[in-house]
Amino acid sequence: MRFERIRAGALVFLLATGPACAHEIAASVKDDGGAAIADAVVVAVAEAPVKLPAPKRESIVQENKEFKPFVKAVLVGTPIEFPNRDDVLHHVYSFSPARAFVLKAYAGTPPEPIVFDKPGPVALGCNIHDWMLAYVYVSESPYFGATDGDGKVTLTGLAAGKYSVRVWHARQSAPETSTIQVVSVNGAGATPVDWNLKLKRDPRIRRAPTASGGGYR
Amino acid sequence: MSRGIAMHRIATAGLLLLVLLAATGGARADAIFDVQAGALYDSNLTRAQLPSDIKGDTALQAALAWGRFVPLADGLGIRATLDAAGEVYPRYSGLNNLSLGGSLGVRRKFGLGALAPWVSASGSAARLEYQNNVRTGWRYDVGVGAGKRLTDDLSVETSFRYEHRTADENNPVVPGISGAVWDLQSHQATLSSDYAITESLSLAAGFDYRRGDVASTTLRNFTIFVNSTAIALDPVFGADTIGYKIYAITRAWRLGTSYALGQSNSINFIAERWISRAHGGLDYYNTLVFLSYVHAL
Repeated sequence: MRFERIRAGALVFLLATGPACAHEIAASVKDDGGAAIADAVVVAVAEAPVKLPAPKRESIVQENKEFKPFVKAVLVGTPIEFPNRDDVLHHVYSFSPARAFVLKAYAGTPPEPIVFDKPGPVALGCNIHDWMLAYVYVSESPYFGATDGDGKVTLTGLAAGKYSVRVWHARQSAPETSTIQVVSVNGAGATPVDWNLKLKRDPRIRRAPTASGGGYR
Repeated sequence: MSRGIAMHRIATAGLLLLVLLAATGGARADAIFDVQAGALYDSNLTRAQLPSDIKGDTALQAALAWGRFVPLADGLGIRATLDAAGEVYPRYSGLNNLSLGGSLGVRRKFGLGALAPWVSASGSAARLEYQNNVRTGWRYDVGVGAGKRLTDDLSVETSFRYEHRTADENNPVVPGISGAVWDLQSHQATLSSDYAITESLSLAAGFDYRRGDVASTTLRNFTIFVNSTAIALDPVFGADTIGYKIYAITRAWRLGTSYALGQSNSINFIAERWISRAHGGLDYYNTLVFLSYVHAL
């Protein structure tokens, strides 16, 4: 009798929790020529408020005088550290409204991480090596991800319901808010969402050298 | 102590300092290792006015800079390099040369980011060894510069430089007139700009305004003779050719393009047109074309 009650309780639990949080959104981002776009951040915001999980510490390293990764998507409130793995100094800064900060020229890892506590994109640079560039995208929703080399990302663990889904890319011409699509997530399988973005030119300062010389001989 | 000896001692001391800085610069200094190789065509090596005196040639060039960039404080850094270069001229082998020297520069950026304006000051000294010794000597230069990146694509800069070249030999051929033809001093102002057409391809334009000594080589020429401040034989271009030092104003226009091959390499093409005007109606024109491959760490 007791065993039957336990089995019935387990069945109710599975029915109540498993399928309700098992939905996915399969996003695909391409440019207006049909080529896949990597490093596009897709965010799905639920209609109903969602409890945010505790953010985990992340890192963006400086290696070979570049930031890695180029785009890091994180949940709001995430602390990010910036280890310098080069044998030269780096001077990391951001002017972005979502998180302006300066890490004056340093080696190794600064003792305290930077907490990204406002949603939005944050552009990073190095004041010594002007070509270095990276982005942190801070999401207000726990359902987010960055596209891979095939321009795809799958957002998992969604409860059934309506979501406003949008995409951000560092080079997109149109505002992020103009990409919002409202989708209903409730069936079996992933709900597809696609975008074709028009991209601007890469704004990165050129790292390759130019010729010196010229001048009177 | 003569001025030449004093300059040589200063140059030697400066080069020793450069060796020290270039070799160390601190544990966290950026290493500099720049290599450039290519070819240069100069349509008027003799800097002459008459067609019969104008001689052109194409040289193979190579250059290397080795040293350090040392960040000192926010936006402030020092660059120190040891520099070596060489040129080989197939037709006028007397112009073949090797140079060895060093450069020291300081740059200050005002603010954060790639769009912050900057100013700089720099100096260099180099020993120039030519296959024909009339041009062998030293080159010194000092200068200041300033610039700013206006957008992600476009940057501008300006500089002002003083250059002094000295020659070991002073062999007068005319009594009472100096033979120091290749002892040259000049001031030059430059304005230049770079524009990124694509992520890999950039365009550069520049303008130089130079006032100072010019060494012109011709057959005997009375007009040049009366307007020159030094005269000597110049065997590089023939047994009968004479070098004259004259004062001229030179304007140079420059257009170039650079294509990036990855992060550390590029191929570059630069074309320059010079117009020099000296006293006595002595004008000469040069067209120079540079093609080079550059590698930097």
